Amino acid sequence: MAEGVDQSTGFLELVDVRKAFGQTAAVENFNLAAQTGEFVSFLGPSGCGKTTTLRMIAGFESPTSGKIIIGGKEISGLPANKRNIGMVFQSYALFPNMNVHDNISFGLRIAHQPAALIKERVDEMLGIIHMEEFGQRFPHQLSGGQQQRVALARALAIQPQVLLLDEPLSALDAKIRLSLRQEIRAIQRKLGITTIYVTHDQEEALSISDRIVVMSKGLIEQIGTPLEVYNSPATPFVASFVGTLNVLNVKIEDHVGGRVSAGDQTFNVGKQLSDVSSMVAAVAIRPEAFRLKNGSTEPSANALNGVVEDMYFLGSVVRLRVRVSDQWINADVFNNLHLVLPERGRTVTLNFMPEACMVMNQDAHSMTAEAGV
Amino acid sequence: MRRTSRLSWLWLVLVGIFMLAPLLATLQLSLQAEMRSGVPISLKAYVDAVSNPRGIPTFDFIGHLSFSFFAALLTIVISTLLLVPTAYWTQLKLPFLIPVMEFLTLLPIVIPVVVLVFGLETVYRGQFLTNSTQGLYWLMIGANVVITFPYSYRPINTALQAINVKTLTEASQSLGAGWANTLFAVIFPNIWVGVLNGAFITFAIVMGEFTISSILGLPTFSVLMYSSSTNQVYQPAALTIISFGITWASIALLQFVGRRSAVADLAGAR
Repeated sequence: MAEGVDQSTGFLELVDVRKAFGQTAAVENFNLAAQTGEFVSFLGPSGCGKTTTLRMIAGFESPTSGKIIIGGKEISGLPANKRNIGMVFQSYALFPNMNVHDNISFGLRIAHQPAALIKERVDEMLGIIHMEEFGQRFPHQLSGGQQQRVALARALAIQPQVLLLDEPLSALDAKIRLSLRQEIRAIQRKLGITTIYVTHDQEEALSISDRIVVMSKGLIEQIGTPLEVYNSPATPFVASFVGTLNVLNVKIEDHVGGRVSAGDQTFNVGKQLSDVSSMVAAVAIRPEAFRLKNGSTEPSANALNGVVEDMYFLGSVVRLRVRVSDQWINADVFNNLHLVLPERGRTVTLNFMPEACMVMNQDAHSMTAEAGV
Repeated sequence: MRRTSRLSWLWLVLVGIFMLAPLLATLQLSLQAEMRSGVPISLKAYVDAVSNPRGIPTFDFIGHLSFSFFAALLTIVISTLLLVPTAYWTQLKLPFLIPVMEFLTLLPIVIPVVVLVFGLETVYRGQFLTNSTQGLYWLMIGANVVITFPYSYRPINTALQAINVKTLTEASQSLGAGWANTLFAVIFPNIWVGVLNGAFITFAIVMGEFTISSILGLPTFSVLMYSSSTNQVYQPAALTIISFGITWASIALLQFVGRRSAVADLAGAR
């Protein structure tokens, strides 16, 4: 069982949920308890089962086994239109034959709500998404970001008990994505609706979630806060998928002392390696864990010497690609007005703390690590 | 390039003559009813076709026209009610049946209509559908639905393929709508142009349909045209031109409605 598997009770619970398509298990042993008002993201690569899980909550797929419970009531057997769950789709799915007002009021009209209430709710929703003047426009007259805001308003108008968002920002450009995700989070906080957000964008998940469920091949790899998932990845997959990672093949010099070597340089990984049976291992270190020697360092800091082979300007960060023996490290340096960067071909010393090392009991090449820009 | 352009126009003209010459000849004939009286162009044939001056009981222009008209409307309604849910369900839940449906749409084109009618008569012999005029009427309607199936199904299917049926359905259901609400409030309005396309083609086919109605002995407009041709000269030509006029008017209306009604961009649903 993966670390962080959630066995507690909550407003939205998935208990031992499994979904198989024929012989293939798309989702396996899924357990989650999301509290009222919590924003939980499902994060993982394509095909990991995150959308399938979301669709099971929505009622568009039936679990092969397991239970889905909302507010103490099992809904696994309920059709989608009886679950009172709002959903926002990647393709917006606005009804082309209806204007913005009619799209937002659709669910309320289906529920035969009084006209006065419908007007009040629609006006409220238009105010929340800051589109008060757009009520009579049709979807084809709106930009992508506007359409997605209307889709969100439409899902919220019915006052759902759970809000589901299936990669809602994937079809939008970067700048709109950034502003809209903050807007979505602000609206969700204000309304206090339990929300499940599916994304393959780790930055998105890290920035707006209360908790993240990292998935791979139908299984939960880790459930935790963004800080936990990023700083304390439970599995090599989480370490490599969330954030950028340097992975070094090392030889273990001292199992008890935690001393390893990369080429002719040694460093300390900050923990005993008694549970590692072999003499080799992979050590993963985040690019931001490194400091150039002239930065402030602790006495216990490790030091690796290498040659600067390349530099990439990423805006707020400059990434140095440094060759250490026959391996490469990406080291991130914060950009500032007084930054002095080493020249290409220059030898530099990279300092890093032992605690920044994540030891993986496997060869670096077998991991799905991204060791470059 | 110039030579190719001239050749293209030449072929166009030749094909145009081939297609239009019989129609123009019919038109000319329909206008020559009073030629022997020295009036080269006259609408007498048209007036006689509509007014039945000889009082021939079987020659009832309005009666035959309205019979075909309402039969066409009924065929359209039944086809639409049958095919829209079928095409929708196939697209949504049974996509593996799409090739089967494609094959079925070919059958009415391949199987001769006379075979269809005789088959229906044989199957339903001795029952209500063949024992009474009312029954024969419904048999005709059923046969019309079959022969117009390819022409009404394909535009509906094309319109459904142009919208994201699955996502729109799921969006509708997530907002609490059941199947009926989803079909009539969301799907149908967005395939309206396709439905209209099929409806007008169906209308044109049923208005001009002869084989089924003549075998079943029903008083349709095409039967009127045939019967008038057995003892009239100019009136059948006039009726033919009227029939063409009705067909072209249907197509023109289709074009007009299609241009006005189509949603510019099915935003978010493609």
